[in-house]
Amino acid sequence: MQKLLSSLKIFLLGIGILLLAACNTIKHGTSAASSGFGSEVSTSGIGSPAEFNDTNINADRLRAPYNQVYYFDFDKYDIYQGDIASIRVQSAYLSAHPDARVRIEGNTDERGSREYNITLGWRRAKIVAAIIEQQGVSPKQIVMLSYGKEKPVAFGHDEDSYRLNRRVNLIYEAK
Amino acid sequence: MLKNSTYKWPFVFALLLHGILFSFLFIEFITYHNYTETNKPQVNIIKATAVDQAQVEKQIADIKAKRERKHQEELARIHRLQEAKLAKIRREKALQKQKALAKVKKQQKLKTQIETKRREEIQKAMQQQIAEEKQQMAEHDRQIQAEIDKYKALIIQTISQHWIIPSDIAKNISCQLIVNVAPGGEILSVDLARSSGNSILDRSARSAVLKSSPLPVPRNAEIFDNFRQLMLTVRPEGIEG
Amino acid sequence: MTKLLKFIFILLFPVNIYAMLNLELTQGVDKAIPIGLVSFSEHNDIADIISSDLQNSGHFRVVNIDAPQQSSYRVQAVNYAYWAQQKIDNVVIGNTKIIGNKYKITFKLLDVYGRSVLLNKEYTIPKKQLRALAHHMSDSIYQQLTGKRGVFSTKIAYVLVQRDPNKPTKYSLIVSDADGYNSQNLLVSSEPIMSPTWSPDGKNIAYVSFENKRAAIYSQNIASGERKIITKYPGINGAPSWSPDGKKLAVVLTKTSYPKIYILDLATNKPQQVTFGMFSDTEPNWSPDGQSLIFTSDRGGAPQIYQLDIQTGEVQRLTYQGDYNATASFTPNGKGIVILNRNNGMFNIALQDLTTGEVNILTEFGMNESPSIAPNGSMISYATHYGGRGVLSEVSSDGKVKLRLPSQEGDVQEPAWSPFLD
Repeated sequence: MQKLLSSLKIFLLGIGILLLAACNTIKHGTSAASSGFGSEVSTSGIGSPAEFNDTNINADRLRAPYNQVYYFDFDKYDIYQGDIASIRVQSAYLSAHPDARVRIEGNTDERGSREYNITLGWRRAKIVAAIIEQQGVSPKQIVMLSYGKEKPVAFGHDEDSYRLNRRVNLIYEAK
Repeated sequence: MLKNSTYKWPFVFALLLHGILFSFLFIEFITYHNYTETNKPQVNIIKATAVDQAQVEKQIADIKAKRERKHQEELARIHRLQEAKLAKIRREKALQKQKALAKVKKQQKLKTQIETKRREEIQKAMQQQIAEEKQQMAEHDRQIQAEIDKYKALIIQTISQHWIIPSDIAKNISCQLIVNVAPGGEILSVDLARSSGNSILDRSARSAVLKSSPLPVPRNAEIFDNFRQLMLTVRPEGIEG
Repeated sequence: MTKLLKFIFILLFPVNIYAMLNLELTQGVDKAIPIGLVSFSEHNDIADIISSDLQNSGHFRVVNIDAPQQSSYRVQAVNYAYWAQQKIDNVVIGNTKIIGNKYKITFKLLDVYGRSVLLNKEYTIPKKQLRALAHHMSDSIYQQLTGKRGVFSTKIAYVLVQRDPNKPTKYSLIVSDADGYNSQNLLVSSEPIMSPTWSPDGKNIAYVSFENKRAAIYSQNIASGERKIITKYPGINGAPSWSPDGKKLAVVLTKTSYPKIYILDLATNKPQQVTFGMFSDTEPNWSPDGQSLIFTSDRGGAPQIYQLDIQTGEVQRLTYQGDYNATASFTPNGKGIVILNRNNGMFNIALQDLTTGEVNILTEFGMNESPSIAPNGSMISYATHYGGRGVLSEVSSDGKVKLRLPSQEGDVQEPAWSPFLD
């Protein structure tokens, strides 16, 4: 779990840097000036010194409206503390945007009966939905769905794959 | 009287006695006379009295009568004696007879006892002989039965190996087949005596029997006779091996 | 002396000469019945199909024969002695004649040891029905020799999932012959399809589809392909199961926010809640008499099988072996249930006898799920993994015969065996 979060942090950091770089590029841009002799010359400046984004690396987790993934331990239906913060951010957004709607999809690992896994995925989706509703969000903005084990993202028959599949996806159907 | 020989001598004896007594009667008369004559020396003057002839005769008659009476009494006495003797002899004879009878009876009893004992001994001997023979025959029977049992088991084993029990058969149903066997074990015929109610089971049993021909049967002709006709009850209870 | 002699005489000789000896046979062998199959002239497909059908059932050991002795079809020429010598119990002899654009097929089933003809049939059919006729003949032979109805003319519905890293995943609902041939698509979707189930008359299949990012239960007519939505409530719409009289559908809904079982009257489409409580109930299946439902519930912690008396509402637990039991369905005779059982982390298909409580594990290796029993109770199809793929397998209900259906491109899952279709 830790390994996962740290690689996620690095990934997000990377994206963050790229985005900043893009911003910088956009700021400076290129300007095409025409000279007296009819040739096209494009000049460009060297840009301002790099700025580093010092905001929290879990940026998108705490940003809304961004689709989220929350993971669960085997046979457990509690939310990680870190995830609760994220859920709160999404809830705040939903409260502020009554036309926004999220679909909460519960998933399980591949072991066991398909229909029983639908009920397990449902339980996970319910927990996330409950937290959102607790924040005062109207149930009309929440759609709960369970895919059970029908939509795995990892296909090994091992604990690593199982861990990646035991999740709830929070998807914005309307923002 | 002469019939009974036991009385022969007493009668002769009696006659003799009578004869002697009669003769005593006459001799005594004469002797009396003689006695009186000889005793003359001592003559006593006896007053002679006139003797009445009648009185004398009466006296003679009296004396005669007396003598007769005495004689009769004597006779009677002798007769009584004789009778007593006879009776005694008779009693003795009877006693003897009894004794003899008893003896014979005893002898006979002994004889029967001996005979009975003998018969018992003979019977006992016979019974022992019978018992021994019975034992021998039982032993013989046991051997035959053992042989029959052995072949029964062999036959069942052979058919069992060929019997494919249909699946999903109800428990506790059974069918009965009559199997006719020729010497050497060749199956002559298999007939369904009683169906189990399930024709698949019936047919499986029949096939199993037919597949098992020739059956293992005893070579001994006498014992084989027990195997000419088999009544096979088929009831699926389990799978072998 | 005479008395003694008499006595001895009686001892030496039995009173009845040739009296019947009584024997009792109670044990047999568990073997396949040897059956000879003589090729049906040049048109061997029929013989091949019958041969596969009978051999795969596990009840028969098929001996395929090209015997010249038997090329004559007349019964008088049948050499029973020859077959008996080969220790073959039954023989199938067939003949095919082409008459115009039709086929005339005749066949006989012989009892070798009984020396009799058990079946003597004749058919005239168009060529495209050859395969179906072959299966029909297999059914006749099977029934004649085992007393049970054959399932060679039944069908299996299943879900095929084709994943491609470059394309969206494709989900298909497919119906094929029981031997895997003749597969046809009923539905193709980019969203999951689950829990196909046959109506008792074999004409419709109900299933769960996640098209439009919502779960809904559909019923589709197999012949026409026409379908309609049965339930589409928010949340779970799952595990549909047809009642034996075909008039009701048991389903799982989360109207109470917990997965509960409802019975839906198909005439009115009104659901009636039949299980209650703050836990998950799912996978309802009807008893053959229609009086009860068995279902999976975690009311006791881990999922176990429970039975609901529909009249009284009484619920009784059925499974006690292993630490997880799910996906239960009745055997056709109602005396047992087929279940998915987990023990020591291994998921296997098991058969539980409802009278004795005995549980018989039928599969091995522990990566099995979704059992579905054939309508004659003899075979159970289920999903398993092989060669990195999801494949369908079959096991006989006594565990002795095992088959694997040929794998396809993709993962095959959730087999549903049709009822008798003829």
